[in-house]
Amino acid sequence: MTMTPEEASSFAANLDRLVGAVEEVLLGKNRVVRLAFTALLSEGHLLLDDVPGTGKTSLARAMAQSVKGTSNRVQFTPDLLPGDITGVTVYDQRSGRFEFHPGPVFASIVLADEINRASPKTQSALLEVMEEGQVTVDGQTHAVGHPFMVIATQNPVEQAGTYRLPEAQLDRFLMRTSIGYPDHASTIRILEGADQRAHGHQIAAQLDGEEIVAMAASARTVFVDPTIHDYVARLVDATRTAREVRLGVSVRGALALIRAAKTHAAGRGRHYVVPDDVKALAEPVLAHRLILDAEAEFDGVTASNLVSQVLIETPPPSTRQAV
Amino acid sequence: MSARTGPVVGGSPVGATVAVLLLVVALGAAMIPWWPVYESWGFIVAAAVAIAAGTAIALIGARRSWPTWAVLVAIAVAFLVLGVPAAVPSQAVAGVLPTPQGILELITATALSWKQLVTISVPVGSYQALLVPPFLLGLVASTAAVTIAFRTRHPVLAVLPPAGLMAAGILLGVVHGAFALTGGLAFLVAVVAWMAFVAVADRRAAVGRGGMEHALADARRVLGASVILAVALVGATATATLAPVQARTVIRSEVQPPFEPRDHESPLAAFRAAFAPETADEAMLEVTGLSPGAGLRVATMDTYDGVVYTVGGSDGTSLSGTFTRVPYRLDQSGTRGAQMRLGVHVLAYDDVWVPGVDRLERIEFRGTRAETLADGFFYNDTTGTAAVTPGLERGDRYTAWSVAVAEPASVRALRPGTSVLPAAPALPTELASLLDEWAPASDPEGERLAAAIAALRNVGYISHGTDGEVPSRSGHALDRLTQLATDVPMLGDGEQYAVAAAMMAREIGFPARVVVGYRATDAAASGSGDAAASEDVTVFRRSDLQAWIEVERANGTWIAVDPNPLPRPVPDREPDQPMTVERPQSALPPPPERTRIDVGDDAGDRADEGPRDESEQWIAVLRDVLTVTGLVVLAAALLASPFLAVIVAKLRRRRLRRRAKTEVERIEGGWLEFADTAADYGYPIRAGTTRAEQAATVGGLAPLVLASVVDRAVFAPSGPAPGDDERVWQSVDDLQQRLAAPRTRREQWRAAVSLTSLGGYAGSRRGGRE
Repeated sequence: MTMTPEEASSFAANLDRLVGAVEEVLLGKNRVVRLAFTALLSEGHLLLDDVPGTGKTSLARAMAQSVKGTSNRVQFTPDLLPGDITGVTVYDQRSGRFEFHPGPVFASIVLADEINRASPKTQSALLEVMEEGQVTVDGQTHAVGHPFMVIATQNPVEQAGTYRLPEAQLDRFLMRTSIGYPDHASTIRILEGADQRAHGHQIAAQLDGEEIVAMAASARTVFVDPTIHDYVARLVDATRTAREVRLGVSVRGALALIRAAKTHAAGRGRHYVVPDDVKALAEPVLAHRLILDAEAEFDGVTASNLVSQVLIETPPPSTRQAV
Repeated sequence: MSARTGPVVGGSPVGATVAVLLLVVALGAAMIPWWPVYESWGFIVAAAVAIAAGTAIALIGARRSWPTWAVLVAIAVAFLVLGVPAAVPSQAVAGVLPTPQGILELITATALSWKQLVTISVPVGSYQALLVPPFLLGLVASTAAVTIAFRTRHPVLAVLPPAGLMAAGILLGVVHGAFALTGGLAFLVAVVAWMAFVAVADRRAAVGRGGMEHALADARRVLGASVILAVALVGATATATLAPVQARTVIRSEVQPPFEPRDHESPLAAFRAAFAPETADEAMLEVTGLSPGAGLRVATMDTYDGVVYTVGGSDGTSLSGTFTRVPYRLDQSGTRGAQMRLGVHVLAYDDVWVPGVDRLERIEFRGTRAETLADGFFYNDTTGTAAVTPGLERGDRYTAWSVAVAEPASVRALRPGTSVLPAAPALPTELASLLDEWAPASDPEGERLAAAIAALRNVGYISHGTDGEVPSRSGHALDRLTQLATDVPMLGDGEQYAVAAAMMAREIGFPARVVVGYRATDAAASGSGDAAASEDVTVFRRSDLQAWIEVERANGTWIAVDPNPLPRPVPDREPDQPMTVERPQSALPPPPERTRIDVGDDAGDRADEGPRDESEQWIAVLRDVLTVTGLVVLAAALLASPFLAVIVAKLRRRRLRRRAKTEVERIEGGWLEFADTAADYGYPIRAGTTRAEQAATVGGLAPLVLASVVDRAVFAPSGPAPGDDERVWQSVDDLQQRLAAPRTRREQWRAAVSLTSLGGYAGSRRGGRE
């Protein structure tokens, strides 16, 4: 069953409402907000490469409020333990039983701040919950519920006291992007008080969790022409054969791109994917999955540049007969 | 492009047929330079058989995967079996079955005919085994070309063997302007067509068949080929029209002719001996087919060293032309005049010079010595002098086909030609004085020549210095000419008068040469006493020998002029009485009988020199205007042809897109049409971009809407809605008008002929797999 045009229109309208609500908090960041919701509705997680003070926490909190969900923030530090994230089992002397105390990961939107400052062991504690949406503590499995999304931030790895995220964990993030500083006009508006975050403003919930889950399910039904599959396969192949790349995009990456493209298409009111959806999401979905050759990195090549080059060199489909 | 492992031509029966046809055309075009060498059906048959046999061998070899040695053996067998009937037809029984002698000649000719080919006068027809070179080369070239096309991975190289065949034809052939241009262009067309065909086949082999864009890519290749052709045609036409004609060197022009005329005595040196009383009446030649009173040329002399006038043409660079062999016939199509068939029976004449008339086309010897004479026959087409190295002798017979130069011109109306003759000494002072006296330098050249000739005829008297005649010294050295000018009365014979007239003519400015031959007299036309029998038979006696001159007129033809006085009694010598010579009122006195070598009437001659009246002038002007207009139109058409080809290609592309099979293809085609228009208007439509990106490049909402509509038709599960294609094309038309509206007509025209959308941009914008 594929999405109907009417469902696509409804989807786009809901997404616009969500994005509009969060934009009240994060001025001038429509693209990032839309990407964040695309990740949420694609049942994926978002990695933000950002320096402090760009609105990451505000984004997470506003997103949670807009979907009538909860949000938690975990500040990753070198001494953070896995249990500090997932939760712990504590013996209750009064009841004489062990009780599970959920960690901060049990929320609709979890902000894992400066994730690369924790040890790899603690980082890995997020693996299961990000992939399977559940936590296993002392043999007990606890579902984190729906919707669930991790928004992680990381500082530039050159900074002291940081650990590079393992490739396996990077691959589990649907997208990577950055909020960045607002542009000049937005900065002036923030200074004038238009920004609501300074006032601890609560934004109105636009949808509830069930509706978000339904939207995510609906997004999966967007039609993808075989030529689009072929296009994505060619893009992925190109990242694997590029001279500057040591490790190309995995199959999981290709699947992630298709899944995100579906949501992106629905968000534009379309019940089918076009090559523009793929191109729009290729960089945020693929770039962080690439491991560049050391020499290429030394030459200043970045993963984002390489994905852009691949997009230029790989012609998109324009006909049905192309495959 | 994927690497290929096999040949790309001949994948389908149609493709193979087209490939063979194109190669046969190229081989046929490569044979064109050979045609002037043969100009006979025999050559066409030999060339056709060679090409057909070579093609068949190559095709069979390709089909059965013959190794190289097997192909070579097949070529050798075909050469031996087909060579005799095709290239040595005279040695084939019933024109088909080869005889042992024929095979021997065929094999011998593979080694010996090459040199013979470049030392013989052309065309040679089917003479001996001279067809062997083109037959052998054609057989090998066609086998190689078709083999390369069908059995190698580089079929484009199949043009090399025909190119070699053509180069051989040029080197071994003759310089022939018309055929050079025709042959070159024909070969160019064939080669470009072949290269375009190979490019299309190569592309199809690489990316598969079908699809509108594939057809368009093929069209682009054909268009590219047509542009190359147009440029070549313009270049060739411009070069042929504007560039000065350069002398072309062929092997023939570098080969020394085997006949040396200076090894033989000048016919003029022995002139006086013909009038010895004891032999004067001896019958020399019996000629049929000669018009009454006409003369017979023995030799033409254009080289004078102050002592003796000789026949020129001793080397290949001589201004007097060269003596070459004429086994079959000469091309005299450029000579205007009547065809003549001359039958000659040699009686007492014995010399190497072969008497004839004007421009020889063909000669055929008969009798027991026919073959010897034919082998030793040489002809100088520049001077019209023929010779046989063994020499003619009593009993020899031959028939000569010639073109008699039309319409003898009035000397008075002549203008000098531009031929350059071998240098000659200056005119003796005494003769120069006479010339100034008879023909003032202020008069036109034609008037001066006519006056000088008339004065010689009026003032001079004939004496051969024989017994019973007034003493007259023989010879034609400068001192004898001085004596001729100073003697009173002027006394001499043809030997002196012809040389004096030739020198005077050269002094006036006319290229002039001396001709020795037989002139018909009243007594000559008397082969027998039977009037009926003698009607067509002229018997020349030894004393009929005469000398006259030829001068070249402005149109390049040589006109015979007789400067000899009529025989009449010589007056007594009166040395102290100066002779008063009146300037003649007419160029020439009416001849007793009109002959071909005499001057003609003024009215007829002036027709050659210019328009007869005002209406003819208008016609001439009109013809010139039409010619210039035609050339201008042709040049304009050639120059415009690439642009027209671009416009036609775009119209065809649009038609293909609009009439594509499926609705989706028509919709896609609509977008491509819009994107191509935008590219032609200069928008940077990049390859490898989506429709939305291309629309954003153009700007505005309408292109974005169109892009989304096309994307929906292509990528949505339901496909396009009925009528979407028409709506898309309507939108495309609107957008094209919007693109054109703000632009000037010049910009619109530039966009219409722009190659941007026909170039690599469109080619790599197919999308999907490369």
